[in-house]
Amino acid sequence: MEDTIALSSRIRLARNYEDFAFPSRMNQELAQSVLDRTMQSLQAAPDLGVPHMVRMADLSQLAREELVEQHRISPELARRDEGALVELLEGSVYVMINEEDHLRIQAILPGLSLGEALEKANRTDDALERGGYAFDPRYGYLTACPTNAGTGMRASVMLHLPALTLLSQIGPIIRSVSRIGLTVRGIYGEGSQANGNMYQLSNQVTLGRNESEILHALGEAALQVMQRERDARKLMLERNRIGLEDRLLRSYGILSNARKMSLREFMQRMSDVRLAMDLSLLPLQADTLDALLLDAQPAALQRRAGEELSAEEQNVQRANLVREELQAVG
Amino acid sequence: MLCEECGIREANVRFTTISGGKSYEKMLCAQCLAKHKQELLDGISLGDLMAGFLKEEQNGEAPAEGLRCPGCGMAYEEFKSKGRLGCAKCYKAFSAQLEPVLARMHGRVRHAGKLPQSLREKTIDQDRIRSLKEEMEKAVAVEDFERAASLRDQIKALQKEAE
Repeated sequence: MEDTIALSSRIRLARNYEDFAFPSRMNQELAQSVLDRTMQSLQAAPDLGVPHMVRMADLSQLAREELVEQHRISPELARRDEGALVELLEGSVYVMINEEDHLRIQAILPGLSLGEALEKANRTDDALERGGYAFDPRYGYLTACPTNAGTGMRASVMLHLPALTLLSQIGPIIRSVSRIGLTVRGIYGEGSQANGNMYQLSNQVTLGRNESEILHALGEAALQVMQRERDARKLMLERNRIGLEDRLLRSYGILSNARKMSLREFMQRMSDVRLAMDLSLLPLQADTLDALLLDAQPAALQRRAGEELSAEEQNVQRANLVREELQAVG
Repeated sequence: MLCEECGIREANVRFTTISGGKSYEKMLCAQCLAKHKQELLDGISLGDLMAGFLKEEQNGEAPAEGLRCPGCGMAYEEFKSKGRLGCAKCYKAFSAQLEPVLARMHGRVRHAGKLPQSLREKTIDQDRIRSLKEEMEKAVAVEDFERAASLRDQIKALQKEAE
């Protein structure tokens, strides 16, 4: 059974230049020097692609929020006028500059592909290293927050776990992965619908272990959680196939016909529809759902409309967009 | 109801999160929810975590009164309240205080991961010198002096390069 439980894999490397204070203690001039040095290193590495820098100061609030929705930047970077973003390797790598650390190299790939993501992040890291990193043999890469010291690496897998959520199995999973230095983040319990049953599994420890040990533990844990989700889906089908299919396909019916839809309801229905796709109940493509998930977020809707929209107006626009997209493929 | 976070926009989402085994609930607007979501995605809700580690550290910590980083001027007290260091030199300046914090966080305070290119080459050379020395000692032990002399020359050449 082809499924899309592992939505994406992400590697984030935190790096700082050794001769500048960390961003929270920099003035504008130093912040500019960090940008200049970074661009210099990138221009000397043409195999990463032509670096194009976008400065936060040049973007509207809405444009920044949209980048946050697309997971290209963090809310923290969106708040910093001296911050900037560079896209590399055909959009698989984003470098955030002047966030909490001088550099946050992020590689994001679809599915479970941690090794490949690390390889891309490493290539970018090797090019940026020319700028002279803050590094200590004992503490590794020096970061503003000691929770990131050592490898500076936060690796994560985004998982869609509707069946485990429904069967209240997320709590036990959180407890078991925390014993091996991993953590699960996600909104769960009553509010889980608001996040579309998506959870992020990531490493907590960054010092004292090397990158491949960390990725190995994370990858193994992700595979186990994915298998448990598959088992939970099977169990639900065995117990009440008609009931489950009915619920999932009703969600599809609502998405394809509703005239207004809150973000919360949208996220929950989309989770149902993704599960229906995984169970071969609907002939949808994962790409369609992934794109819609981004396009129906608040900032994306407002950008598309070309104006600020109230929550109510967003709900109407969201429903319109979803209807168009799902009818176009259905 | 107004959003419990920004207090500006209308709240339309109930946000439940789990932290330290307890669940917390808030009514949020879509924008503030998006921020939380991203934080979860980024795993940067670590600020709180950091504060937890620092609090635990209160007992038996090295005295830090008046301690300042010579690089950026940050006082250790400021780090304790913010949870963020000011520059690379802070690690050395506050090492006595940071060691137990890092040990609690990560278990092992010894970098085991990637090295910058310049250090990578040096480390490889050091490893090579060490293994050549071992080989040389073995050669001496079996009185293979010809081989020992050749190994000695290789070690000398590598040591010279390293300098």
